[in-house]
Amino acid sequence: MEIYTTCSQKVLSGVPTTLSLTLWSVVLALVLGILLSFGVLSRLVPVRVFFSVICSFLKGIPILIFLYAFHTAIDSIMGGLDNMFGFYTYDIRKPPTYIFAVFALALSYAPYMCDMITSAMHTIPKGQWEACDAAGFTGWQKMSRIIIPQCIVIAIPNFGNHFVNLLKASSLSCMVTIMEMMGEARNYATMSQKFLECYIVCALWYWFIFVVFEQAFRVIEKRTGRYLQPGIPVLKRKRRRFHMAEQQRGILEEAK
Amino acid sequence: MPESEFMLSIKNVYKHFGDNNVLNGVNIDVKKGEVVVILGPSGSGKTTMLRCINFLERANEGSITVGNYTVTAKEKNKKKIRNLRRRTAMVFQQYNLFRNRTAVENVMEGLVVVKKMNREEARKKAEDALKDVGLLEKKDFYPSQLSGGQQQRVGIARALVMEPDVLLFDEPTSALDPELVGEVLECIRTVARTGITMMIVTHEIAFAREAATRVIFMEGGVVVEDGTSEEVIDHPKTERTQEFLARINA
Ligand SMILES: Nc1ncnc2c1ncn2[C@@H]1O[C@H](COP(=O)(O)OP(=O)(O)O)[C@@H](O)[C@H]1O
Ligand SMILES: [Mg+2]
Repeated sequence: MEIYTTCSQKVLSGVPTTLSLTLWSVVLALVLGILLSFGVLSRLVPVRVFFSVICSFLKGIPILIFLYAFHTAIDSIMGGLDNMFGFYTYDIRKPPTYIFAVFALALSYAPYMCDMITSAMHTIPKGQWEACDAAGFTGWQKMSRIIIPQCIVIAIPNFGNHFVNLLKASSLSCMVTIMEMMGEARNYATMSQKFLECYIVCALWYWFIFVVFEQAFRVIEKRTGRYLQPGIPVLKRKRRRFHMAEQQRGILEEAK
Repeated sequence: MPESEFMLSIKNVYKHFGDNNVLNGVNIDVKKGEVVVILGPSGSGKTTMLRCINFLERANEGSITVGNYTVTAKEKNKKKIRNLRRRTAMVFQQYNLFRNRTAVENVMEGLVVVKKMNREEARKKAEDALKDVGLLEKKDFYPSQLSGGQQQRVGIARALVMEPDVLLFDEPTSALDPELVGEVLECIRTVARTGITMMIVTHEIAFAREAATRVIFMEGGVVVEDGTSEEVIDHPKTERTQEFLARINA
């Protein structure tokens, strides 16, 4: 029993790292995905082809290879930058493994973010664009007020999936010495020689975090997608529920 | 410059999609306050002509004048095209209300974005416009929560509130269930009485007869007949118009 509690403590100590790793990677992946989507949605065929090939390339590579490749290149990249800008402050004993892991995870998820954006864009009916054009909106007004807000709502379920997938994928970064949940679990497993127990504990915590985020995204999805559902506006619906409660109270009092 | 006597002039407009010649030299001049109904068989280029007016479709040749503002088909300047569009408003067959905006927000949107009106003022004006189409109590509903007829009436309010020089309707009732057509036509009729210049593509002959001050029959991308509703609908001169009317009345 003690194994489980101690292991839980170890794993939980890795949670902040896992979360921050996931968060930064998601943000960076989203930024890169947006940049890629500009290329993929370009009107110029060569640009479109070029960016589609990049997306396909990034998608085809296992995350672990990204992590290893970046990890291997840290010293030469950092040393190179250090020399180029003349800082001479890079300490080879303290490589910024964390930042490189973020980049590796982000790069492998950027093409998925790009797909998410382009497919959301394609689901916006032509009529929405035309209604803006006919009213004399500028390109920016059209995008910022009508198209992008609708895209975000459509992309949220997909985004939630990518988010939790990245959360799980971040466990791979223990292979490049980052002590997140999985790293802590492995460390303790080696120390205690109770491998299976430690992995089970770690798995359960991952599952717990997964459920939290999954539910959170479900709530967000429901909230933001309200306007796509037929039915009565929320204000009215609330009032009606209140009405029901009143009626029920009436019935209750009658019964008394 | 003298004020042009026409509110809308379509001059010599040609449009082709690939080798499909859809518009073959359309010339129409519309005076202020005229309610022009466009009739014609499916595929005769009615929608395309309407879309060429506000440059949703770019004509290959010709020019469009709204008020005294002329834009030629070759115009590259986006701002000029936008200015032309701001003088017109369109009511679509598929309503095309902004899905992420409630009814009142749909009507406000153009006022806030294009006319730079402040939100309070715009909301008040939008609510008045919704009242005019009889939908004030639905102002906080999203388009997905409204019936087709209600959506189309919001669409009409959205177009009207911009006070355009010309109001364009592309088959405003043909996507509607039959029992909802009446409310939308009634709404358009009310609008027509306000003296705004309108161009309406429709298949509702009865509506054309009573609401139109002028009826145009199009076929094969040209204007075949042009006159009052008595002239065109009751006493058509050309054979093609007679055939079309016979088919539609059958
Ligand atoms: N975007 C487009 N691309 C290619 N062909 C089109 C397009 N829009 C319309 N057409 C063609 O133009 C012709 C006229 O269409 P349209 O203007 O919609 O006619 P109407 O509204 O009178 O039924 C049709 O043959 C149609 O196939
Ligand atoms: Mg049509």
